Amino acid sequence: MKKYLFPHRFKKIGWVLLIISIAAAIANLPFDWEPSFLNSNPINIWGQDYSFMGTGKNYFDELYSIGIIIGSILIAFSKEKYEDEYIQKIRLEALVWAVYFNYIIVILLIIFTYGIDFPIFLMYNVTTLLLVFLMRFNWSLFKIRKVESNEE
Amino acid sequence: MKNNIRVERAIKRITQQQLAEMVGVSRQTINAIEAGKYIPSTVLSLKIASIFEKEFSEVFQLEESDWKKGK
Repeated sequence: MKKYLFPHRFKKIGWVLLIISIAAAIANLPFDWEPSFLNSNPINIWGQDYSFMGTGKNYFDELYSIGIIIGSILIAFSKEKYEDEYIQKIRLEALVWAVYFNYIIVILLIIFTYGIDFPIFLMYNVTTLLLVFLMRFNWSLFKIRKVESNEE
Repeated sequence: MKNNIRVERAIKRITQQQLAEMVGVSRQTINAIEAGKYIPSTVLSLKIASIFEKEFSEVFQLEESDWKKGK
């Protein structure tokens, strides 16, 4: 598994990226703030007509969405300081757990949300898998480090 | 799988941390192995036995439960 992981130093970069992106999302979603220099005409790759958007599209939400995803991937899949076989087992268990958790959420969304709500919730769900993995993995690491400190 | 790493460490007078550094893992890993929470890989087991200058089977032993299918 080691060869699929980023070097340990990428973890810090990931945290910086994630925090900035979440701050941007908070500024954008409830407060509707967006920097005007990111206004542009939409990239028209599916041949759709975007002219109803008037002045063009603001690319702020695209940027921070990608930032949140890349940031959490870097945090989740950078090596720990001592990345050994035991840590890798814990990593794998946390990943399996997060996948189960994520799809339970998706199933609940399928059952309980209708119409336009469903894709909106699914959009937020993009981050669930990685965030749940991060919480579970770090919780497991915290537990083994706590046990370890009272042994010799 | 049982092991007597703790006993062997006491004989050699080395700490979990020292053993961890000698075989290139974290101290938590040695701790988990001693507590029976983690079964080390073949390479790691052989490294540990070699640090203690013992045969593999003197440090690690199979248990009855290891024979149960789909454990």
